[in-house]
Amino acid sequence: MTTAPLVELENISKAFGGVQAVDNVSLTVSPGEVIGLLGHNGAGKSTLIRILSGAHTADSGRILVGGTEATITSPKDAKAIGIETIYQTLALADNLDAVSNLFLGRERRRFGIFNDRRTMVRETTEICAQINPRFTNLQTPVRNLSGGQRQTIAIARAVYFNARVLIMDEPTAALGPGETAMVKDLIQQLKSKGVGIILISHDIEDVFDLADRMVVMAGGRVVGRLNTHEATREQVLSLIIMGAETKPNPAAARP
Amino acid sequence: MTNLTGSAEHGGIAALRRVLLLNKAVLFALILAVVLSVASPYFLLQQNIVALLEQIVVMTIVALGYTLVLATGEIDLSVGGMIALIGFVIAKLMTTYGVPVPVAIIAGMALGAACGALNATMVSRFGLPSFIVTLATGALFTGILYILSNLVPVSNLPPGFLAISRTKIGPIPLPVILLVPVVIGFYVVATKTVFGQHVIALGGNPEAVRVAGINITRLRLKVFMIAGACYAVAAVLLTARSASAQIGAGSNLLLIVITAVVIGGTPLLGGKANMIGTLFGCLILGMISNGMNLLGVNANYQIAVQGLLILFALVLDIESTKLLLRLDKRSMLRRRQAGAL
Amino acid sequence: MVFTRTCFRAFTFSVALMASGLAHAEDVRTIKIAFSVDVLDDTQNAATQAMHKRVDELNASRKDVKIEFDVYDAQGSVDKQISDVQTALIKQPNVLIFSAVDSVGSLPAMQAAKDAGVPILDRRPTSPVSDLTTVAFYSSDENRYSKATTEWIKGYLKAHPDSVLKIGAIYGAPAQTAQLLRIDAIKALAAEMPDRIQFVAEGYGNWLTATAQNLSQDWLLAYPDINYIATANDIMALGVSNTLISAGRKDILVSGYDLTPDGVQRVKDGTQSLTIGTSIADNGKTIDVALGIVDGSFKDKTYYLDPVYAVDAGNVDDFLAGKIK
Ligand SMILES: Nc1ncnc2c1ncn2[C@@H]1O[C@H](COP(=O)(O)OP(=O)(O)OP(=O)(O)O)[C@@H](O)[C@H]1O
Ligand SMILES: [Mg+2]
Repeated sequence: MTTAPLVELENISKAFGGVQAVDNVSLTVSPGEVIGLLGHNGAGKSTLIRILSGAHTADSGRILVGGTEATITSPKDAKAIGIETIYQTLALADNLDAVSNLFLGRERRRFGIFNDRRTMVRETTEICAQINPRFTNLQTPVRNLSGGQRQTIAIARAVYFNARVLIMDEPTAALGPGETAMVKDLIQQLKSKGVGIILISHDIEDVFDLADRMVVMAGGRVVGRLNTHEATREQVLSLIIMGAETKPNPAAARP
Repeated sequence: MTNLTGSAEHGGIAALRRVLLLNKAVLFALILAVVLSVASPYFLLQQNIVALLEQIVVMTIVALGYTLVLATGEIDLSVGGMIALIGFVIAKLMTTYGVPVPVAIIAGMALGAACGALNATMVSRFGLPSFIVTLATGALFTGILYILSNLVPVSNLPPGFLAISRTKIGPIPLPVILLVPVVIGFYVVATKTVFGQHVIALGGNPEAVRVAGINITRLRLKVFMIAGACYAVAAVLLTARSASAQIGAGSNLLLIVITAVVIGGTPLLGGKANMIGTLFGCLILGMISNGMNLLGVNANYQIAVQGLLILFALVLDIESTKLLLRLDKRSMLRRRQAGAL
Repeated sequence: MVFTRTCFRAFTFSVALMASGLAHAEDVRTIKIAFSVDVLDDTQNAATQAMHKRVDELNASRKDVKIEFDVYDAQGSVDKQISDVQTALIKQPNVLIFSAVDSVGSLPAMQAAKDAGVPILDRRPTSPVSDLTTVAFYSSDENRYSKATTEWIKGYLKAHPDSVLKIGAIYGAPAQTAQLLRIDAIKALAAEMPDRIQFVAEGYGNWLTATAQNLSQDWLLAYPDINYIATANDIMALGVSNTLISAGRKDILVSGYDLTPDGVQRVKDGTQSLTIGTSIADNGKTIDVALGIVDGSFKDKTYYLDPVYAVDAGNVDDFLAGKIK
C-alpha cells in the first residue's frame, strides 16, 4: 500500500485468566483497504478487534492512529476516532427498536436532554433503505426481528456514523444470499470511499472476493499474512486448520 | 415508543385492545373502581377519593423512583431502612438541632442521594449484584438508625413541617397536589429523555449499552441517586403525616412498591419503565386496601384477598404480554403478506 | 457514655459497700447480683437505672445485707453475652439476672450459669419457659393488660350510662398471637354486654403508625358511628390520633399500650384517651425478686411486674408527677 496506514496495532496481547486470547499480534489497515481476518473458533479474532473498538483493553501493545499513539480505553474513544464496529453478538438492546439501537449512545437531542425521535426515525429510515430496502419494521422491539434484520441494524449503525475504520465481525453470518450480496456491495462502496475495513468471516469465498490482504490467526497468534491475489484457498485453509501451511512458508508464518 | 399505526390499519378495536393491553394497570384499576363503587356506597364519596389519594402518595413517590431502578434490571432492598433513617435524621435535625424545615428537607434528600450513591458504587465498583448490596446496606441503614435513635421515635415536630401534610388546597391535601408534577416529571424522564432511553437500554442489554460508549457506572449512579432522593421525599411526607419519625416507618413499603411497579407493567428483570403503569399500580393497591376497609372484610381475609389479587395481577401481566407479542407477530405477518402482494 | 456512667455507679457502690463491709464484716451478708443485659438501649438502660436505684435503697435500709450489683452489656452480641456470663461467674454471684440477646444463641450462657449452680432470673423468658430458668420475670403480662383494659372500659361505661361503644379494633401483626389478647378481651366483654359494646370493624396495623392511620381514615368514612378505636400499642394509637386530628374529630376514644413517653404525652394533650402498661421505673422490683431467690423467700416460678397502669386524662398528671418523684 502506498498510502499511510489509518490504524496500526502493534504487539497487542490480551489474556483472560489463564487463556492467552491474543498473543503479540500486529496488524495495519490503510485507507480503502479490506483486511480479511481469518481463524478457527477461539483463535482470538473477536478479542483482537474488541481491543481496537475499545470493548476490551489490551494487556500490552499499542495502537497508532494516523501515525500517532492513541489511547482507546472505552468504546467512546474508538468511536470518537472514527472506528465503528459490527460486533459478532450485534450488541443490540432487544427491548428497543431499530431507531433507538441505531442511535444508542449518540442520540439526536433537543434542548440537550430530550430525544429528537422524529429526526432519528427519519435518518434510520434513510440509512436502512440503502442497506436493506425490505427492512421496514423500524419501530418494533428488535427481539421480534429476524437475524438478517438485526444484522441490518448493526451494519446501518456502523455505516451511518461515517466510519474511517470499519470492523465487521461476521457481518453476514445471519444473512440470506440476497442480503449477503448487498453487504458485499456495501463493502465495495465503502472501500471506494477510502474506509479501512477489517472483515472477520468464516466464509473463505467472501474473504477472497473482498479482501486485499488476509491475516490468519490461530491460538491467539498470527500464523499467516497473505496478499489475496497471491494466495490459494488450500494455503489459507491449511493455515486456518493447522496453523501452518502444508508447504511451510516461514516468512509468512512468523508471528 | 411502540408503533401503533400497524394495528390501527386493522381497525380501532385492535388499537384499543393494544392500548389497554399495554396499560393493563389502567384497565385493572378501572375494573376495580367500578366494582368498588357498586359494592360500597362510600367509595365514590369525594372524601374517600381524597383519602385514597392521600394514602398512596408516599408509596407512589417511592414506586416512581423504584421504577427506574427496576428498569435498569437492578433491585433495591434498602428502601425500608433508608426511609426510616432519613425520616429520623430529618426529624432529629429539626427538633434537637433547630435546623429550619427547608434545610432539614434538603439535607434529607442529600442523605437519600448519598445512600443511593453508596448502593450504586458498591454494585459498579465491585461488580456485586444489587440484590446482595442493598440487602447489606439496608441492614446498615437500619443499624445506624437503631444506634442513633436508641429505638426512640422523634415527635414534637415543628408546625411548619407538620403543615406539609396538613395543608389543603380546596379539599385536596398538599402531598396529593405535589404528586402530580412528580408523576409527570418521571413520565417525561422515562419516555422523552436520552437518560430514560439509556436506563431502559441498560435493562435490555448492558453489554450493548457499554459498547455503545455509554458510561454505565455513571448511569447507574444517577438512577440510584434519583431513587434515594425519591425515598427521601417519601420519608418527609411519611414523617409529616405520622407527625413523628417512627423507627418502623416504611418497613412495609418494599413489597408493596415492587408489587405496584410490576403490576404497572415494569418487569422485574428490567428493560421497560412504565411510569403511568406504576401510578396505577399504586392506585390499585391503595384501592384494594381502602376498598376492603370500607367493605368491612374480615382482617384475616384481607390478607388472603390481597395476596390473591396480586397473584391475579401478575398473571394478567404475563398473559397480556404474551397476547401482545402474538398480536405483534400477527400484524407483522399480515404486513409482510401485504408487502408481498 | 451510658456504659461509663453505669460502670462509674457500680464502682462507687462497691467502694461504699466495701467500706461498710469492713466495719460490719461479721454480721453483714454480701449478695452478689450479676445482670447480663442484651443491649443497653434506652428502654433497658432505664430499667437498669431503676435496678441500681433499688439496690441503693436496699443497701441504705437493710443493715443485714449488702448488695453488689454488676451489669454486663452484651451490646447485642450473643458471643459477647456468653463471654460476659463467663466473666460474671468467676466472681461467683448469688444470682444471675439474664436478658437474652437471642433465645437460642444465648442458651450456652444460661447453661454455664446453671452448671455453676447460679440461679437465673430470666427477664426475657421464652415460651415455653426454658428449663434453665429459675424464675421467669415478665415486665408485661397480657392477662393483666387485658384485665386493666376491661376494667377501664367498665369504668367508662359506668360513668357514661347513655353511651354505647362502637369499636374499631386495630391489632398488631397477625403472627404475634399474645397481643391478640389485648383486643380479644374487649371482644369478650362485648359479648357479655352486647347492648353497651359493639365491634364494628377490625384490622391489622402491623405495628405501624402509617398503616393504622390509613385504616382509621377509611373507617371514619365507612363507619360514621364508630366512637372508640382500640389499638394494640401506642405506635399505632399515634396513627389513629393523627387521623382524628386531621379529621377534626374529638369525640372518638383512642387507646394504646406500653405507656410510651409519647403515648403518655398524648394522653396529657388529650389526643389519646388511654394507654396501658407497666412503668419502666418499677423494674427495680427485679432486685427484690433476685434477693428473694437468694434467701429462698421467693418460691414461684414466675413473676409479673406490678402494677399495670391505665393512664387516662383522669390520672395522667398524677402518673407524671409520680414518675418525676
Ligand atoms: N470475555 C472473555 N472472558 C474469558 N475468556 C474469553 C472472553 N472472550 C474470549 N475469551 C476466550 O479467548 C479466546 C479467544 O476468543 P475469541 O472470541 O476472540 O475467538 P474468535 O476467534 O473470535 O472465535 P469465533 O470464531 O468463535 O468467534 C477463546 O478461548 C475464548 O474462550
Ligand atoms: Mg469471534
